[in-house]
Amino acid sequence: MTTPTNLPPSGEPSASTAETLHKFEFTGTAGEMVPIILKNLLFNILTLSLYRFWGRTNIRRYIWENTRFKDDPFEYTGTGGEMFVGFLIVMVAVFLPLIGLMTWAQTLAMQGDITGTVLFFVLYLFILWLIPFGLYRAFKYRMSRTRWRGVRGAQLGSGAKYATETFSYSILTGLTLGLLYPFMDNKLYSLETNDRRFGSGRFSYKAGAGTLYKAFFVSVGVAILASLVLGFLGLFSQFAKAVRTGAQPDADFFISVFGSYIIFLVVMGLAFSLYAYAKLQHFWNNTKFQTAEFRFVGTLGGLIKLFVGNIALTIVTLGIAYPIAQMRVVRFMVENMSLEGSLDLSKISQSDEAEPSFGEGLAEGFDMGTI
Amino acid sequence: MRLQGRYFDGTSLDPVEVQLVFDQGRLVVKNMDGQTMSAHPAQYIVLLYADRLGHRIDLGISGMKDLRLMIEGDGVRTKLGAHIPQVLGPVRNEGWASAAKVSAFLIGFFALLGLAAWQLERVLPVLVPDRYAADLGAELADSYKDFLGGTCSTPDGDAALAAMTKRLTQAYDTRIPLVVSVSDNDMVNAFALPGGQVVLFKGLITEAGSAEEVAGVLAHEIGHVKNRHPLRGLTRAMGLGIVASLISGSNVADLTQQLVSLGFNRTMEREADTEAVTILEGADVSLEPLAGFFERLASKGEKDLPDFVSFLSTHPMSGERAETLLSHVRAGDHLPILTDEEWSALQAMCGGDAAGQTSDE
Repeated sequence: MTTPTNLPPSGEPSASTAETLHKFEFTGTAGEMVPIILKNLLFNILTLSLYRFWGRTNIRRYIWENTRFKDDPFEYTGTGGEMFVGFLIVMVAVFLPLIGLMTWAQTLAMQGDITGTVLFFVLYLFILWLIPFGLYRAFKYRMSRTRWRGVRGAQLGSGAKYATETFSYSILTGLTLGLLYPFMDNKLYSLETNDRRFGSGRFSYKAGAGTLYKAFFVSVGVAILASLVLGFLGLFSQFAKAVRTGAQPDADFFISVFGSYIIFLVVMGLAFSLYAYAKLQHFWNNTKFQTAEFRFVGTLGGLIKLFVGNIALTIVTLGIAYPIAQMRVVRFMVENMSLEGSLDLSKISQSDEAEPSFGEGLAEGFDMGTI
Repeated sequence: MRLQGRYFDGTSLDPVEVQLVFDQGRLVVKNMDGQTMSAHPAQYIVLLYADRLGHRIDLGISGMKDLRLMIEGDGVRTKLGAHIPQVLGPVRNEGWASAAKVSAFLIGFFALLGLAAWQLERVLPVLVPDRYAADLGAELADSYKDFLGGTCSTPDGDAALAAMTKRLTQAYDTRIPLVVSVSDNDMVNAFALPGGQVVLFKGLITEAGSAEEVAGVLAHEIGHVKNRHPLRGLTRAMGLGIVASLISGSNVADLTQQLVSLGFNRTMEREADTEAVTILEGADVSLEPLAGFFERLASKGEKDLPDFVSFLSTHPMSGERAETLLSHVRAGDHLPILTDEEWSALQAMCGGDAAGQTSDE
C-alpha cells in the first residue's frame, strides 16, 4: 500500500532530494476573501442557510489554492453537492432514528420505566462516541479532497477506532481529574498523524507526552494561582467589604467585580495559550513526512496575537468574518512551519486509498467548528 | 500557439516538462523531444487554477482525475482562452450562475420536503395503533399536570362527568375510548390529546352558565378525538420540526419542543364544530347554550385569552361560530343534560362552592 522504502537512493541523491529546505507559502488576503464571504452570505439568506455546504467549499478552495508548497498551489476538489448529500444521508440514517429512540426512551422514562432511563443514558453515551467518529470521517473527506500536483491526500485508519479511543481516554481523563489530558492529546495526535498519507508518502509521529506535561502543569498552575489571587484578594475582599459595611453595592463594586472577571478571563486565556503553544511545538517538531522533518518556528506572542485577533474579528463582525479567522490560522501555521531534510518527490505516487463518496455529514450535524 | 508547461499524472510528484499545441480542436501534449503524449478535446478541459494576473494556469481533464497541466508564461490564460473559452471563465466553471442554479434547486427541494411533511398528518395518524395513541395521550396529560394544575375528583363530580360523557357518546361511536378529566386551572378552556384524552379546565365549568354549555365544549373536543386531530397536529408539528432541523442542521432539543406544541388548524376546528352539532343533536341537547357561550366569548374579546394548545387559540372567531351554531338550532324541547344536583357536583369538583354559580354571569 505504500512504497516499500522511503529512503533516498543511496550514494547519488536526485535533484529533488538535494534540497533540504522545502518552502511553504501562504498568499491569501482578507480583502480577497470578503467578496467570497458576501456571496456566500447572499445565497445563504436566499436558501435559508442551505447554501452553507457550497459556501464552505468556496472558502476552502480559496484557502487551499493560496497555500503553496514549492510554488505550486494546493487544490481542494470537494464539492458542495457531496457535503449536502453526506449531510442528508446522516440526517436520515443517523439523526432521525436517534431522535426517535431518544423520544421513545424519554416517554418510557417519564412513565417510570427504568428501561427508558437506561436507554437514554446509553444513547447519550453513543452520541458522545459519535462526535469524534464524525470528526474523523471529516478528516478522511478533507484529506481525500486535498491535492497537490494532482496527487491526493488520505487519512487511513478507522473512525470507529479513533472514536473509541477518544471516548475511553476522555472518561479516564475525567476520572483522573484531568491529569491524563496531555497523555490523551498525545495519543490521539499520534493516531491521526501516523494514519495520514500524501499520495504514497507517509506522515509519522513518535514522541511521548513528557514535554506536554511540563507545559500542562505550568498552565494549570497559572490558572489555579490566578483563580486564588483574583478570587480571594479581588472578588471576595469586595464582597467582604460590602457585607461588613452593609452598604449597597455601588459602581466601584461592580467595576472591580467586572474588572476581576476580565483579568481572570485574560489569565485563563494566557494559561490556555501556553499549553496550546507547547502542543504545537511538540507535535510539529516530532512530525515527519517521509524522511523530512517538520519544524514549528512560531512564537508564543504570535500565537496569542492570532487568538486575540480572531476572537475580536469574530465578535465584532457577529461571526460573519469567521472564515477570515480560519484563514489566519492557516496562514499562521504555514508561515511558521517548515519542512527540512531530504525528500524524494519522485518516489511519491498517487494514493491507492479509496476516496469517500460523500462528505462530513456527521461533523456538520454536530455543528463542529472546522474549516 | 505553442506553450510550455509541466505535466503530472499521479505516478510521481516530479514534473514532466512538456510542450502544448492546439491542433484541430484538441490540446496536444508533447514531450520535449516532440513526441505526442496525449491529446484532449477542448470541451473536456477544465480550468482548476489561475493566478491573479493570468500568467499561470492549472488545467485538469474531465474524466481523468489525476491529470494536471500547469502552464506558466506571460498572458497564458488569454492565449489559451482564444482556443478554449472556458479557460477565461470561472474556475471549475462555477461562478454566480452556478451558485444561483444550486440555490434554485435547494429552494425547490425543500419546498417539496416541507409539503411532504405537511401531508404527513393525513397518513401517519392512521398507522399509529390506538393502544400506543392512548399511552401517548395519558403520558402527555400527565406531563401537562405540572404546569396546568392537578386533576379534580370527587365521587359525585366524577359521576356527573361520566353521565354527561355517556349521554353524548351514546348515539355516537368515537371508536376511541374517551378519558375525560377536569383540571384545576382557572382558564376558560379545554383540550384534547391523542388516545381519547379530553381535559376540561375548572375555569370553563365555573364560568359556564349551564351544564349544556360545558356539554357543548365537550362535544367539540369529542369531535377532535373522533377525527384524530390531536395525533394529526402532533404529526404535523413533528414533520415540520424535522424539515426545520434539516434546514438548520440538527437540533434534538428543538424537535422535542416541537412535540409539545400540537395546535389545531382552523379546518380542524370547523370539523370539530360540525361533529359537535351532530353529537349534540343526536343526544338531544340544545345547541343554544353553546352558541350563547361563544357569543359571550366574542363580546369579551379574544385578545386576552392565553395562546395555548387549546380549545381557543387557533379557533375560528367566536362570533362567527355562534352564528353557525344558531343556524342549526331547531325549535322544540330538549332533555337537560344533567340534573341540578349533578351540575352542582360538577361545579364543586375542584373544591369551589357550587352554590350560586349556576346563575348567568
